[in-house]
Amino acid sequence: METKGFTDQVDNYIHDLRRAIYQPVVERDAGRASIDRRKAALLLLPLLNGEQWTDEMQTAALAIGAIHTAFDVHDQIDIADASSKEQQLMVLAGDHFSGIHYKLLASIPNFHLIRSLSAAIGRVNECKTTLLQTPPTTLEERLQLITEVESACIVEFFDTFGFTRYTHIIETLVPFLWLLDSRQHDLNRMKFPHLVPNTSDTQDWIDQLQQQLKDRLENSFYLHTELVEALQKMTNEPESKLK
Amino acid sequence: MGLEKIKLMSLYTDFRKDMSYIEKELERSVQSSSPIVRQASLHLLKAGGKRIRPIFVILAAQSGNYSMENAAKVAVSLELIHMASLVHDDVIDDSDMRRGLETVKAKWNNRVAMYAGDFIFSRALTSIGNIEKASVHQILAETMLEICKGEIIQIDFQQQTDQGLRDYLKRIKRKTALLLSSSCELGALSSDADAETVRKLKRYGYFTGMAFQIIDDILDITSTDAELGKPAGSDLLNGHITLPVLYIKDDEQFKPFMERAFTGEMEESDRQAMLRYIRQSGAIDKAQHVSDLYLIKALKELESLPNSKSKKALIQIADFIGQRKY
Repeated sequence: METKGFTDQVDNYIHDLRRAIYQPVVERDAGRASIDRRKAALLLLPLLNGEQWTDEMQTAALAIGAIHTAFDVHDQIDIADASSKEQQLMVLAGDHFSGIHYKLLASIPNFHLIRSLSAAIGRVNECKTTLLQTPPTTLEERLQLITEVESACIVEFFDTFGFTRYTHIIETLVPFLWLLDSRQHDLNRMKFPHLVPNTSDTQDWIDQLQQQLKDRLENSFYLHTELVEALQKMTNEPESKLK
Repeated sequence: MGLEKIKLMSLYTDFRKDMSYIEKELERSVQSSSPIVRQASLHLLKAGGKRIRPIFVILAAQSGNYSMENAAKVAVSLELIHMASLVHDDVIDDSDMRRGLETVKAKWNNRVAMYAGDFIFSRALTSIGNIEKASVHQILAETMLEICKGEIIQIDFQQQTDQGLRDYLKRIKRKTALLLSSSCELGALSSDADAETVRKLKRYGYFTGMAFQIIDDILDITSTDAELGKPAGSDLLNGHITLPVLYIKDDEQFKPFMERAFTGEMEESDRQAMLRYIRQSGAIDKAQHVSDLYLIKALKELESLPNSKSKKALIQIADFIGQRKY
């Protein structure tokens, strides 16, 4: 498996996701929603690793992508003033993407995933509210909440389709990448910029998580070498090499 | 509780036990480990509401093999979807008051309102997720998307005066009628009612929903600020052209009011003058007539259904909607 192959698979997925969530008025007046490629690549880890990928999994993965995009759009609503037409449409765009996620799950239909994903969406919004209004004081607690926000839906997807062995990779990568972004001061890219920790804290956690990830990747005998290399590259640079 | 609300609740008397079960389930559904999310969700729930969607589910479900638990899952889900959309609507409309209480976005901020709305939506899916019938989920998903499309079109049409009756009817179909129609349809489906009964109840819900929204739009002009729990004329101030306004939008004397409402240059005395102008124009009667026609159609759908307490309640609710003052 080559990196080019990963790129194509992520590209194809994003293409399908764009088609699934398309809304003409929103695109015309509020622009195309940005799709988080890195998160898409993490969701597709089993596929990139050559696991059997059914139509049902593809539809469910698109549903997860739709709800992730809904989260991201709603995170961009101005805290004090959303009265512009663009902001109004972004509120509705997020609702539209949520509706698409449900429609996709209903089309399978996967009742278990409807239930487990709705519980995860609930938890994500609880965590986002806590991070916004009453963020915990320690970096460890903050990282736990951020990990839940960024990975809860992916973890549900993995659990549903028997890919639980990939969960520990995601749960280490997500906080690690957030810290890398914060060290790069890439405030446009990163979520929760107001939670950026101080430098010494960041470096300690980066070192710890990097070691943890290295151990996990080394012990994950089922991962293809090319994928391990791609994941390692991802952890060395702020931008994903799974692009 | 106002007289009107008491009148409406009295129509639910035969189904008090079911409605009180749903009320408890609604409260249970929005419990959260996050105190702010819990408070924000309960804030709107406690403000009350007519609970038209849940009662429609309950009444429609009586037409089949009724199970209170099953019907409640659908009813709770539909009411939560309605609530979630209200929380987000207040962000879009920058509204500080709803049902006489501060909105979530005013009490906290826009972002908390976004997250609270998304949380409530997730709970709606948790509730209905326990019904393992593909058609139920497919109908509800389509309904949600259509509602959203309606709101997007409403934003697109904001302050556009070149719209006609058809545009307005299409908009209120998506905004209100579809969810009421789906309440009846899903209630009936959840109890395995026969296809013809499901169809009739669905159409009853649709026609009643159209009338409900037209009356809502009339009340936005004819009620006082205190009765509405928000400033009268809010629709027009937010750039939305409703049925009464549609009838006088080309009136030369009214046009300057509309322009000032759209540009936000409206003084309090000007707003009152605008409302008086619409009230005296005859537009309210014309709009009321359209609502009445929809209610006649709604009642027609019920004619062939067997007599029962639920049918009687559906008739009374349609009558109430036509005359309601809140």
